[in-house]
Amino acid sequence: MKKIVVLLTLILILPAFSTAGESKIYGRIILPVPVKKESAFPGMAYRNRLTSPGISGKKRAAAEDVIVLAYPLSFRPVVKPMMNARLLQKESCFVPRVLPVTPGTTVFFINRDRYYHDVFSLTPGARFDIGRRPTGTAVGKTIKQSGELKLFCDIHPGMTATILCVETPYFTRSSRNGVYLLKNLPPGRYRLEVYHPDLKRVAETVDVKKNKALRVDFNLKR
Amino acid sequence: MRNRWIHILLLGTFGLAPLSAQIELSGSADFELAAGGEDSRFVTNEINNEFRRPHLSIRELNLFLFSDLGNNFSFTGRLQWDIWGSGRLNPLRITLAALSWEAGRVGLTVGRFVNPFGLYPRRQLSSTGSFINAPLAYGYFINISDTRGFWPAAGTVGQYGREDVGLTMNYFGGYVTGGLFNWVIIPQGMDVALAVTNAAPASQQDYTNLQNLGATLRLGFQPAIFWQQGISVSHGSFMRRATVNTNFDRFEKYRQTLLGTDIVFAFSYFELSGELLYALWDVPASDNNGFQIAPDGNPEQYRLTNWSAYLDARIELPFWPGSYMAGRYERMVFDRFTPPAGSSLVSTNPWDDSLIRYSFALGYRLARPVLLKFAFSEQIYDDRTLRRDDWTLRLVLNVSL
Repeated sequence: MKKIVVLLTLILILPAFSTAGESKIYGRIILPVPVKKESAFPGMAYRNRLTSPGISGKKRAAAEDVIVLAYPLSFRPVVKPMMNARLLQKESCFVPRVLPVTPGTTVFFINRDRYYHDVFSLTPGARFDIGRRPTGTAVGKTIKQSGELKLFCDIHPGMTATILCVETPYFTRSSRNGVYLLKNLPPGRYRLEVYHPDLKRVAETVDVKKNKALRVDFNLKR
Repeated sequence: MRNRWIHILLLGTFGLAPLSAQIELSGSADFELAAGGEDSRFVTNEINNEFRRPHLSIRELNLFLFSDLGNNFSFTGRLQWDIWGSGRLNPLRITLAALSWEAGRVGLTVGRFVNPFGLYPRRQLSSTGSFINAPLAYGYFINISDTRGFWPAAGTVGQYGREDVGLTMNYFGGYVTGGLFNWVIIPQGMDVALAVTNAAPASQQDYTNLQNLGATLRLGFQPAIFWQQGISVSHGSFMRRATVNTNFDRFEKYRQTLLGTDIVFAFSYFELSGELLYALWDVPASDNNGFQIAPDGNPEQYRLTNWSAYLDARIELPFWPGSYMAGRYERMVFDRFTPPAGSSLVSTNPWDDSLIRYSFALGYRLARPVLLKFAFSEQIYDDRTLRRDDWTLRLVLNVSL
C-alpha cells in the first residue's frame, strides 16, 4: 500500500514540479529498511515511570530526517540567520530529530512534556547545557559553528537530535514518502548533498538551468 | 553447576544477539584509580585494606541487553564482572534478567529487576550517579548477619567475600528477584510499585527457594515538576542456613522491616536529593558463646533498630558544559541494645558504630559516552575523634559502549 502511495505521488505530483516555470530540483530518497528504533536501554530498566514514559517502540519516520542541501559552486550565496527555528521536546523525543539551520540562527528549545527535559551538546567548539527546563519554557541558543551539532537530554538517555548548521540557504526536508523539492534556485552549478543522521551522506554535482526542473534520486546506505 | 549453565545460556544469547534485529546490546566499563586510609575496610568504606594504597583497576564491566519482544513484552538483562568486595575479579554475575509487560499505565515484571525501594537503586549505574561510593545505607555493613542475626563481631573480623561480615541496610546491588506490579495512577502525578520478592531488601543472597519471602511497596508522587517524593515500605525474612546455625529451624520468623522516604528537588542546574531509611530487625543474637537460646530451644528473638539518611547537592556548571560538582552528607545511627538479665550479651549503646560521612565529587563528561568522576569521602565515628584513617579517594573513567 505504501509503495502504491509513493508511486502515485511520483506519477501525479512530480511531473507538476517539472512543468512549473522555476528552477528547481526534485526527486526521491530511497532509505534502507528496517529503520532504526529509539534506543531503549539501559534507561528502561532504571527509569522513574512518572517522568520517563516507556518507549513506544514505533519505527521512526526516517525519511523525515533526511535533509537535502544544495551548495552553489558557481556563485557565493547570501546566507542569513533563520527566524523562528524551534526544536520541541515532546513525548520524550526531540521534534524534529534533525533541524537544519544557517549560522547565526537562534534555535529555541521548547519543552512540551509535563516533566523536565534538559538539552546539552558536547560537540567540540559548541558545548552548551541549558539545564533542566519545565513545561512550556523556551530557551534560545544561537548556533554559530557550521556542521553537525549533536543534542542530548541528561534526564532521558534515549533522546537525541542533530542541529545541522549549513553554509547555504538552499535546503529542504524530505517528505514522509521520501520525496523532496528544492525550489527557487538561481541557475548555476550545485553540489547536491543528502544528509541523514544514521546513514552515509551522498552527494552529486548538478547543473540547474533557468526555468528548468531537474530530477535527481538518491539511494542512501548505512 | 546450575549457575554455570545459566551463564553459558546467557552468553550464548548475548553472542547470538547481533543475528537478530530485535536485540539491542550496550555496555559500560569503569576504570578506577583508588586509594584509602590506613584503616580502610570494604565493609566500612568500600576499599579493601589490601588495596588501600593507590592502585589502578578495572572496577566494572557490564553488558546490557534489551529486546522488544512485541505485544508489549520486553526483556532486559545485565551481565556484570566486577571487583566489588575483595578487590579482585568476582565470578561473572547475572545481576538483571527481567521479562516485562507494559501496557499504558500498568506494568508487570518477573525475574531479577531493579529494587523499587527508594532512590539509589535507580541511580546505581556509574554513568548516572554523581558519586562513586554507595550511600551508607547501601554500602556500610552493620552488625547483623544473615546466619547469626545480631552479631557484635560482624565486620570487625573477617573480610567480605571470605567470611561473615554482616549485611547492609538495603542490598548494595540494587536488585531483587520476584514479581513486580507497577501502576501509574496519575500520569506525571502518582505511581505505585508493589514487588513480591524472595527475601527482605537487606539480603545479598539470590535465594531460589521460597523459605524467605519479602514484599516491597513504593508510592511515588510528584507534587510539582521540581519535586519528586517517594515513600517505601518493605518487610521480609532474610536468614539462611549455614554451619553456624544448623541446630535450629524456623529462620523465616526473623525479619527485617524497612521504611524509607526519598526526595528529589531539581531546577535548572541544581539538584537536591536524598533518602531516609529506618530499619527494624527482629533477629536472634549470638556472641562468642554462640546463640542466645529461648526456652523453646530456638534462638531468642530481639528487636534492634537503626536509621540512615543522606542528602546530595549537585550543581552542573553552566559555564563548563558537561561538568558537575556534588556534595553529600550522610548519617547512620544505631539505637541502644539492652539484653535481658542473665544473657551473656553485653549491653551496647549503640549496637554498632554510629557515624557521619562527608563526600565530595567532581565530574566531567569528555564526550557523550565518556564520563570522568573524582570523589573523596571522609567518615567520623561518634565515639572517636577524627583519625583520618578511613578516607577514600577515587577517580573513575566510565565508558558507555
